[in-house]
Amino acid sequence: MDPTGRLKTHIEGFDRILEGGIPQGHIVLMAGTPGTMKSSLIYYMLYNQAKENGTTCVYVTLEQSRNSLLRQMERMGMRTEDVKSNLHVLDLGLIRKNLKHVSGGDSWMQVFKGYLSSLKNDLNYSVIAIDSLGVLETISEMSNRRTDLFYLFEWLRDLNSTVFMISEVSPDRLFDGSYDEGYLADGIITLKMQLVREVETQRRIRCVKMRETNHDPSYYSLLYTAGRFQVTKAISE
Amino acid sequence: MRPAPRPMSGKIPAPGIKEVRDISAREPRPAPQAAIRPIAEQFNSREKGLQDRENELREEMEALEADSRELELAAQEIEKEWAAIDEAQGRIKKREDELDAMAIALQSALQAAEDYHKGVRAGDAGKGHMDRLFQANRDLKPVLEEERKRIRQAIEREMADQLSRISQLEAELKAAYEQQGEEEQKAPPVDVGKVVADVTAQLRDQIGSGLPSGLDDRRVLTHIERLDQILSGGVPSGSVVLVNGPAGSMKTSLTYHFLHNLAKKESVKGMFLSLEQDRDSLLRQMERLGMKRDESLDNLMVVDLVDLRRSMEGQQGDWRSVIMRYVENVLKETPFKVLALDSLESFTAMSQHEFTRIEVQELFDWFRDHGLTTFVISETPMSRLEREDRMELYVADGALELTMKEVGDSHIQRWIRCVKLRGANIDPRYFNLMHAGGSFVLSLPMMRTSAQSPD
Repeated sequence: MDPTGRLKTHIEGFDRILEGGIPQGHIVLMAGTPGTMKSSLIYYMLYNQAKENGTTCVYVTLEQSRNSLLRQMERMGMRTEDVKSNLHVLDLGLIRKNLKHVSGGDSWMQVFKGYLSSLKNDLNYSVIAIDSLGVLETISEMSNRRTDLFYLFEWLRDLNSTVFMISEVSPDRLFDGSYDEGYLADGIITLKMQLVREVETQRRIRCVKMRETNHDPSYYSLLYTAGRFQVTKAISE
Repeated sequence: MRPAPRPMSGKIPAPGIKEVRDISAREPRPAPQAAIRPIAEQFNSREKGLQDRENELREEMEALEADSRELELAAQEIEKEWAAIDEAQGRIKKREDELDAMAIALQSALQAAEDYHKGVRAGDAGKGHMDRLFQANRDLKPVLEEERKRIRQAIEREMADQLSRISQLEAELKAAYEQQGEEEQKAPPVDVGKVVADVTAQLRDQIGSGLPSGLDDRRVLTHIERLDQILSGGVPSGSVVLVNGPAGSMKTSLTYHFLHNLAKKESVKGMFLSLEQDRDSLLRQMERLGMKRDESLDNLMVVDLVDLRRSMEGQQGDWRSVIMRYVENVLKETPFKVLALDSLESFTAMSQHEFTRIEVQELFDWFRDHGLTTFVISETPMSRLEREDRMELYVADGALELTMKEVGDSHIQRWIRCVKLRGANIDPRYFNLMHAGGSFVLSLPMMRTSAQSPD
């Protein structure tokens, strides 16, 4: 645990924007369209926390298979062997398989919460990432999104862990009024693809909201080179 | 009716006649002796008068008696007649009953007769028809024979399909039966605690373990050099990849190219499921693009709606499940590795009910569960998928976007971009997609010049 009470992202240049990192216990929404490296970036933060700080982290994947995710991370230079005792990647897609033929997303949500609570007792993880909110919403068949989300976020807060929630809602739509997660979350980081000079696409990262933090809300270019993520001031536009 | 007794005014009733006679007989006996002559004479004339009177009375009596006898006889006669009438009435009644019974019998007999009559008439008409029919039959015999031969051939041709259909129906029935059994077993409410325990047990070996060794990272090559580079070595085996683009952006051709070259160069078995275009038209188009059918014939199945319809004839359920069953059946006979679905829109349109988000996920899971590397062609523009946070983009493992780009004043270029690909580190840039020399070529777009010639 960091004595400052902040969780370092280990993204070069980004921690400075966040006054040293993400306040512990925050629920942070990572929003971006598909292909913006949300999963990779979150995994990168957890990987480095596990590796550099010895933090116990859990990465919950609901859609992508565990092996596919880990292979992807290996290929990016993050050796799972180095962190396997601290970073646990769990494929909770199999809850659905255990509930096959049983209708009702309620039971799914109950099992999901039940499992993560009991895991908290076993591992006492301090960071948990959930990939992704869209899939979770679908599987649990949220009928009243507003209230269901409210209770989900309340429950997440009670886990006493820093939570990363991955959302595939495009950042532009996140604030059009129908997405409550923007208000419910303590922090929002958005990722987008920016077309540069009509041909090149660059990934842009922006911290839209971070409670208890005087953050820099401008767009930064997100680069991945030589196994490291880094942000730089966006040059064009 | 007996006759009323006749009134006896002044006359002696019939039963008292004897008494009257007795009295008159006694009267002459005390004859006077002393009065002698006048008295005697007087007596004599008186006696004579009396005698006359007696005779008169006797006659009258006799007449009355005769009358009485006559009457008695008449009464007897009347009585007899009454009895006769009674008897006759009884007979008449009996006769009536008999007649009634006979009438009833007659009626049914009449009905039967009428029916019979009708029947006879129809029989006559029928006979006429029969004769004509026999004639027609004789005339049609050769035609019939020919037709029969043709039908027999058609039946034989379809027999193979029918047979596979039957075995499939059996399998289906069995599956439905098993599923029913399962459902019955799982009917009681979910025991959340138990499922949590199950899930915990199943996830135990994922905790504290890295990437299991021995798993090879198998890639399905697109056989387009630059594209394989962009995808960092091809599509991870078992992925579901969306191929998005507007009409004319060569989605179908590009996808067919993947399957064709896998079949041709690596003998990877595949199926191209075309719900849009019929097979002949599709194959002609591909031949024109330099992909010869005989190069892929052994390994690439091309299935169109006509094939599906024929082999699935009489199947219940909506098209979606029919298609899935079809693919499953083929997989059992000829295991194949790569599937192309053209297109997702057609497929969802065939579903009877609305295609919900969870169903897209289930469909994609179904592809993965069958170990298929799947290319799903979609006409919904990527920009819309991104904007409306559609499910297919969430749950697909990868997405290729094809766009038509206006370059300069008149040129249109086709651009391709890998939007996402799980398990791979992609190059997210746009590339110019061209078809040249029987293959696709990717290059970085040149914005300044319009020298690039789109095909």
